[in-house]
Formats: sequence, structure tokens, C-alpha cells
Amino acid sequence: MSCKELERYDRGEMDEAEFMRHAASCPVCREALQLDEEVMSLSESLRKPVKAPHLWRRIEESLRKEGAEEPQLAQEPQAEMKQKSGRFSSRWKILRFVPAAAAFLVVFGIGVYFGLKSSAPSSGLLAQKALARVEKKEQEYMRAIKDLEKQALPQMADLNLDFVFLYRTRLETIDAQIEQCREALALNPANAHIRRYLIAALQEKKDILAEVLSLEDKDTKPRRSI
Amino acid sequence: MKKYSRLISFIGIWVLLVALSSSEANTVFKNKQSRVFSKSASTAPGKTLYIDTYSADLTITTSNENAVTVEAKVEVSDEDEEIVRYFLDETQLFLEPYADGLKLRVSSPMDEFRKPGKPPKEGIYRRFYRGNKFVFRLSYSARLTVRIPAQHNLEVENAYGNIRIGGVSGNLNVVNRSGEVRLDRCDGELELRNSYGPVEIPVFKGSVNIMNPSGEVEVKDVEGDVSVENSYAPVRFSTIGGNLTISSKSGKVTGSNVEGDCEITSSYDEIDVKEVKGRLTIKGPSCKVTAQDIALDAHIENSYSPVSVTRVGGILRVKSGSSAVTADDIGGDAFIRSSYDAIVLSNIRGSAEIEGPSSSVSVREVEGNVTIASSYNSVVVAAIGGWLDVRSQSAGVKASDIKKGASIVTSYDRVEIFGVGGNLRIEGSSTSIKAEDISGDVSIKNSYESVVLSRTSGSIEVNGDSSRIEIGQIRNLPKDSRIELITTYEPVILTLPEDADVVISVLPGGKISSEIPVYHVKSQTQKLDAERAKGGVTVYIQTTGSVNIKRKNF
Repeated sequence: MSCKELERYDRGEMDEAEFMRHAASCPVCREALQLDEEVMSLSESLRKPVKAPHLWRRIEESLRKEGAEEPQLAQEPQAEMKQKSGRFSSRWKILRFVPAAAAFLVVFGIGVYFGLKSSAPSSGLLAQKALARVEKKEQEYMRAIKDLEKQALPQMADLNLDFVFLYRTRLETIDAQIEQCREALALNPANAHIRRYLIAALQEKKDILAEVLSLEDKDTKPRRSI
Repeated sequence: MKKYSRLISFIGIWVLLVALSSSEANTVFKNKQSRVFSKSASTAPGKTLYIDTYSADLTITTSNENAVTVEAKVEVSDEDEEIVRYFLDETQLFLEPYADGLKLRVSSPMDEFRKPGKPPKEGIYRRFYRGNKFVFRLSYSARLTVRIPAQHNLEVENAYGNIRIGGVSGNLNVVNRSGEVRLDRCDGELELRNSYGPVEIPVFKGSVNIMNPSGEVEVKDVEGDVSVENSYAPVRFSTIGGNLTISSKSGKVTGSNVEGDCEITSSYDEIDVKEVKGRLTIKGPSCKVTAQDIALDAHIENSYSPVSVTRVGGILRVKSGSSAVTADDIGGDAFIRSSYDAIVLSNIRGSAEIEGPSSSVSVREVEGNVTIASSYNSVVVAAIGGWLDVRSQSAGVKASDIKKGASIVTSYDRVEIFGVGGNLRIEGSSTSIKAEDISGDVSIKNSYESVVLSRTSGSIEVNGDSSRIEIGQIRNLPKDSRIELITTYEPVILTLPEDADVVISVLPGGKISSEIPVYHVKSQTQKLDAERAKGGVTVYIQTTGSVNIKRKNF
């Protein structure tokens, strides 16, 4: 099953707002978007975020602003529907069942059709557009990490030796993982699995650097020996 | 009605979503194709299947047949449709005899790229050169579903992918790099290496050895020994039939119910262990440690974070620094060392030995002896079945209900002690001392601050320097006991029982007021000894202050 609108969007012939409106009524495109979102959010499911310091909050804010347009666009039709539904229900309370039942029959029918047609799991490869977006996000992470490193690494040098050792080895481990993922992606760029682990590693590195910056004075001072 | 309407809509949407999520997704994308490969070969229980893949999701389950069956779905995408087709045409699934069993591998043109050195510039590979520069956009993904007999060994080597193994019994060696690994209801011996991604072992009959440096580990219902090596991610465990060893660098470790011994190493995070039938050993610098219901001994080393221990059947040893330590209900002896934070012990059926420089110490209900070495913060002790020994630099000490004797050394603060079954010895300096209900002899050395004793039942010896001495409500003065009260500049007030048979000698320096005749002596060597007291109690008082001696019925 394919969708011409998705292909147009993938080729850059359709802007995002238009595509989002189309996706609201197209199951194929919704699934493509879902995969997109899945990749972006999977890294979060791999690792719980840690408390971010002030600097990271600023960086995160700018990232969030960039991504804020999409959900707003996706919510528009829902809001409209809710408004209409409210007007409808006030006059035709008894007919509430009709659209619900009709919707149920339609989606049930479609569901049975697709369910019977194939039970294969979803794809392990990213679509071209999704890949571009993921790569863009990775670049954003890298820029944020670079900014954080500028502040966090000198501060790390002031920590007591135990902390320095801990954070260094941890960052080295993450760097090794980033390197391995990059090597694997060089030969397999759209592999969703490897991408999500790269994003998870980048996010972890960002979190660690943020953690270093968020350490309070009492933690950063060398401790008395026992 | 509204409720049913929503319910119907919800069910409908749910059915649609389920159906869509399980439908063929690859048809959505341009220049992406997939192909399914199948293989099968006969095997026998006890043989080994070697799986050699690089980037594949693996699902391994069991069947009743003596055969290995494999279904592999390989997906490929690229900007060039011809390359996709060519790649799939060149991809093969192999299931061949190998060592003591079979080897399963997916062969594809990608193998050439992973080899060291430059790939050839011919065939499919030349397509990846643009202007003599290597440009690669082809991607692939594989999903393998493997079925093997239930009694079968497995050697899996993969790098990027999720691995699920269910119901297999045998020697299981799994190596992966980044992915989720789950073994469900398996049996035998498991050796698992992963780096990133969660490892989950829900039920396993046999021993488990896991190394997953940067991924979470969850192990439960394992009948054998479990060993987990991890660095930074949380480890959770429950119901382990054998011994448990967890070695982590800075991950959170939590769990319960270990039949054997439990040994945990981590740092900078939390360690929480409950219900260990064997011994517990925890090494967790800067870890918050909580341990409950340990049947045998518990040994905990940590620093800078609190330790809380409840219900230990055997001996408890805590070696810590700058940590608050709380221990309750300990079956054996308790040895606690910490500093700069509170130490609180209660319900110890053995003895307690506490070393807590700059720690406040609170101990109650100890059946054996209590030894406390501290420096500046308060010491509070109550209900001790044995001896109490407190050595402190300048801590205030409050003790009550000590069944045997007590010895207290401190300075510059207050000592209050109520109810000692044996002798009491206090060595203070500038310490305000108050002692009541002492069954044995009392020996006190002090300076500058008062010594107040009441309800004593043995000999009393107070050697004060500029200390006011006040002795009253003496409960009993046994024959041959003695009272010796020496100080300077401050008064001595002694109230004796009405019927006390005493011989009193005083080396006076100030005014003497006494209801009993006293002998004035010129030096301490002239004081009346027991022989001259003829069986009565000798009293010697020396001060440059006033002396006040009274008789009173208590």
C-alpha cells in the first residue's frame, strides 16, 4: 500500500503543514509519521532523562520550539471535531450512537481487512524523510553536546577524583558506543534500530554533561578522606 | 449512553490501530523491498545451533520436531531500485552443519563492506562510488524467526538487534551489542553479553551470567546462581534460587528474595535489598543503602549516603564514612563505623561496637555490651543488657537502664546517667555530671563542673578539680564501702542516710557544717582508714570550699 501524498512529501514537493492535514485522514501517512515519532521517542524509552541544569533547559527549549509546530498542526482537526461534536450532541443526543457505531463498523472492517491481509511487524528501515529528520536531530544533539562540553569539561576538572574518574569513564563508554553506532550506520544509514541507539547514546551524553553542570558546590569540592 | 458511545468508538479505533500497526509497512516506502527466506535442517536434542548475524532481530522459540526451521525477512532500501533488487538477489540464508550442530547465517553483499580494507569497485559496489568518493545510502534490516527443539544449545552472535528466546533448555551463549534481549522460561546455563539496551530474564531454571555495561538488567525467578556485571544502568532482581552477585559501577540496584548469598557492588546510586536467606555483602561508595530481612550476616561498606538496615539474623558490620546509619532488629553483634552523621541502633540481640567520630549516636535495647567511640556529637543510650563503654572527646552522654556497669570518658559537655546495674566510672573534664540509681561503686574524675549523685548503693569516689560535689539520697552503704570526695574551691554537700554507720574525716579549707561529728585531718595521708572505722563506712572529704554534711531518711 502506498500513498502519492507521502511520496510528494518525501520528495519535498509538499510542505509539512499540508502533509499533516492530509495525514490526519490517511492511515498510510499516519503510520509513516508514527514511525517517525517512534524513532524520535524510542531513545527516551531506553533511558530515563535526568534532571537538566539551566544551560540544558535553554538548549532544550530551543529544540522544543522547533518541534512544537507539528503537534499543534496535528491537534487542529481534533479541536475542530470536538467543537462540532459538542454542537451535534446538544441537539441530537439520541443519535450519538449512529456515528460511533458507523465509525466502529468502518474501522472494524478496515482492521479486519488489514489484519487478515498481513500480520508482519512494521518496518525496520526509516523512510527517506524520516531519516533526514533523524539526522537533523542528531546534528542538533551534537551541537548541544558541543556547547555543554565547553562548560562541563572544565567544571569536571574541579571535581573530586572519584567523580572525575566516574564521569570520564562513563563519557568514554558513551563515546565508544556513539563511534560504534556511527560505523554501523555508515554502511546501514536508514536502519531504525541502530539510529535509535545512536540517539539514545547522544541523549545520554547530553544528560551526563548536564548532570556535571547541575552538581552543587558541596558535590564538586574534593571530599574529606574517611 | 455517552459512556457506551465512547466505548464503541474507542474499540473501533483500537482495532484500526492494531490492524494498521501489524500491516506491511514496507509498502509505504519507495525503493524499499523485502524478501522472505526459509530454511530447515534436521537436528537432535543436545546439539548446538550457532547463529551468526550482525544487524538482525532474532526470535527463537521451540518446536516438537527434531529440526531447525528458519524464516528470515530481509528488508532493503536505497535511492536506486536496481541496487535494492540486486542486493536481495545476492542475499542468501545459510543453515549448514557446523561443529556439534548447525550454523545459521545471512550472507549479503554487506559482508564485503564490513571486511577490513576497501570494498571492490565492481559489481554492485561500484554504484556506491560517486566521483571516486564512497557514498553509501543503502540500508537493510533483517528479522529472523527460528524454531529449534526444546533441548538444544545456542550460540548467538549478533550486534544490533533485539533478541527473544523462549522455552529453550541447554547451554545458551548470547552475544549482542545494542538491543533488547529477553529470555523467557529457559533452562540450563546462560552466558549473555550485551552493551546497550535492556536485558530481561523473567524465568530461568539454571545459572545466569550477564554482562550488560550500559543497559538495564532485570532478572527474576531464576533457580540457580546469578551473576550480573553492569556499569551505569539499573539492575533489578527478584526470587533468585542460588547466590547472587551484582557488580555495577554506578547503577541503581534493587531487588528481593535471594535464597543464597548476595553480593552487590555499586557506587553513587541506590542499593535496596530485601529478603536474603544467606549472607549479604554490599560495597557501595556514595550509595544510599537499604537492607531488610537478611537471614545471616550482613556486611555493608559505603560512604556519604545513608545506610538503613532492618532485621538481620546474624552479625551486622557497617563500615562507612559521612553516612547516617540506622539499624534495627539485629540478631547478632553489630559493628558500626561511620562519621559526621547520625548512628541509630535499636533491638540488637548481641553486642554493639560503634565507632563514630563526629557522629551523634543513639543506641537502645541491646542485649549485650555496648562500646562507643565518638568525638563531638551527642551519645544517647538506653536499655542495655550488658556493659556500656563510651569513649568520647567532648560529647554529651545520656544513658539509662544499663544492666551491668558503665564507663564514660568525655569532656566539655554533660553526662546524665540513670540506672546502672553495676559499677559506674566517669572520666570527665569540664563536664556536668549527674548520675542516679547506681547499684555498684561510683568512681568519677572531673573538673570545673558539678558532680551530682543520687540513689547510689556502693562506694563513691569523686575526684574533682573546682567541681561542686553533691551527694544525696544514698540508697545503701554496704559495710566496708567508702566515700571519698575531693575538690577545690567548690562546696561539697553530702547527705547521708539517718542510720548510716560512718566515720568522717575532713581536710578543711572552708566552712564546715555537719550534723555528724567529723575528724579534721591536716593531710590526705591522715584520713581515717577502714581499720579505724571498725567496720563502718569511711568518709573522706577534701575541699578548699565549704563542707555541708547532713543526715536524712529517704
